[in-house]
Amino acid sequence: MADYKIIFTGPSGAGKTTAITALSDIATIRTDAASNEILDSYIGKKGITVAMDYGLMKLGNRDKIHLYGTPGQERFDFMWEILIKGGLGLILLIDHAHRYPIREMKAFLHAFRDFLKEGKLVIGITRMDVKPEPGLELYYEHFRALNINPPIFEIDARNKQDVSLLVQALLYSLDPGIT
Amino acid sequence: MMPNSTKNPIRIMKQGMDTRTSDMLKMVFEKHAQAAFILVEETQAEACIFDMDTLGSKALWEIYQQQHPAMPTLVLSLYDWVGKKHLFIKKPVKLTILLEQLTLLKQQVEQFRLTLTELIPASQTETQTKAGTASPKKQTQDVKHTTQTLEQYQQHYFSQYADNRICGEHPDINLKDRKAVASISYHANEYFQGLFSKAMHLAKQQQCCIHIQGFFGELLIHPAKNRLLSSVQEERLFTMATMPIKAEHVKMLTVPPEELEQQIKTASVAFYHYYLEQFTWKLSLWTARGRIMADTPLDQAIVLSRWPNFTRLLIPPHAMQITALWIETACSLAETARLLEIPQRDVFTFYNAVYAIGLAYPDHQTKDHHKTLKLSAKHTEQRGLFRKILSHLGLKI
Ligand SMILES: Nc1nc2c(ncn2[C@@H]2O[C@H](COP(=O)(O)OP(=O)(O)O)[C@@H](O)[C@H]2O)c(=O)[nH]1
Ligand SMILES: [Mg+2]
Repeated sequence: MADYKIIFTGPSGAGKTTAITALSDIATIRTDAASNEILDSYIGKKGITVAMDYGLMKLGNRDKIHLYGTPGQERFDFMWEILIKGGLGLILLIDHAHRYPIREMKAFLHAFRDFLKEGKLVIGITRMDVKPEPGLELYYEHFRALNINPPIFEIDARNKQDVSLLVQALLYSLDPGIT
Repeated sequence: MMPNSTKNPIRIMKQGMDTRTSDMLKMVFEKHAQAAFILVEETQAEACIFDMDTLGSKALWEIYQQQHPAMPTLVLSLYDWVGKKHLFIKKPVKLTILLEQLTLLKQQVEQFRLTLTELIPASQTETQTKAGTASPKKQTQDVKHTTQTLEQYQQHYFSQYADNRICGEHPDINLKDRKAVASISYHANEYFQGLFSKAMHLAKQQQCCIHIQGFFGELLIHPAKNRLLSSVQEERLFTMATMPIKAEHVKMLTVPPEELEQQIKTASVAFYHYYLEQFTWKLSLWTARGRIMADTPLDQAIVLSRWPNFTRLLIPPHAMQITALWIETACSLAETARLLEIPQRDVFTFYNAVYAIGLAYPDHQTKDHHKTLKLSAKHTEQRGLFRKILSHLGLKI
């Protein structure tokens, strides 16, 4: 029985809840209460509550992938612990229609910097239908300067295929040899 | 009888044919058909005579249909033929029947030549812009009355997996065998792909828009907005992309951006919208169909500068695996197929596409290092699970 998780993060309104709902086999829930095992242990330790979105992919044979959506604005230092335990990777969603999408992206990359030393990152740029200009070049440029090369896809979080392709890119980044 | 037109003979290639049959054809062309036909190489051909009875011809036929889906074709066989699309002669071939069928073949080719020269006159477009009216020809298309803009977002943009057949069916070859490599190579310049990349070059150089007019319809290129608008359906574009074409067959006009935008707003044709990259990518897939661009170094490591925007591209087989590998380590085409255990044609197809949009290039410094790369084994225990996730999401592996 395998038990892994994928974390969705990004500013509020970027489409995290929508994306998780697109992939989840259960109704997406908001774990405000200490209802979830993993969060439980964390909340116990640090004594604050965080509301996370939670969804689940049931793969059969009791294999599961937990899908977590981080809160939009709060602090992230706690995330590190959650991520390293069975975390396959981080899916960062950015709202392209926001006034300063790059500034927002930087803040999230900074918050997850420890995880990103080892862990895999995939980026979905949402709401490009609302604001097509400038294109993805904006983000490509940013990452060229950092000399890292994550998958960056234009997505619509309401479209399951788009969100699934982010997951696929994450898995192949982890292991190009999947056949 | 055979019309006399030695000036511009029909250029025919032979497929699956022994020398006896091809000698017979040559003789007929010269002695009985007033040299209205000549045998040429595949890249020059505008029609084909296909012998179905030689060894391996069934497989060859599959490949041929991939490579030349729209080419006028005459099939010769000992057995009955069910395909309605092609001309057919049951062997033994009689001279009168052959001449009859050759006449039909010629008519098909001439029909195509005619459409090639049926260019829309440039002046027509100008009138249209000024008066806001469409030519009669355009009115036959489905007319959209809403004003169109470049920013229009369409469902059309969502990604799809390409059918495996997009890569053709070539078996793997020995990549050191020059002749074998030549047999699966193509020159973009002989196809619309070459003309299109010239247009793109021109647009960038002059910082303007381009209006392409051809027998297939119209294409509008707006580089600053990263858009291509097409007045024609994809099936037609695909057919056009597969056929050898000459510069004379297409008219290219440079247009100032404001003028093009105005033209789009007032057009009565519903355009199909593409990102430029998306179109360039597709055109490469359509043209190559599993072949490799001539002169591609097969033993040099390929550098991929970033992930393609897969969610808005037609995804050919194994494209994501190859990307993930190349992002991790530059690796030659031959080595890539070997490492990932995938057909060479899939690697070629993907390389052509990323090369076309300027994301990949051969690293001339690094010859294939033969350091025998191995995909790290530490992941293998996860592979089963990953496979399960992909199939759960309905994704193609
Ligand atoms: N137009 C558009 N709306 C989107 C897109 N992605 C998500 N949305 C919508 O954006 C809103 C915010 O999404 P939500 O999932 O709640 O964002 P969250 O705050 O990150 O969880 C929802 O109404 C979504 O339907 C997109 O690509 N285009
Ligand atoms: Mg939310």
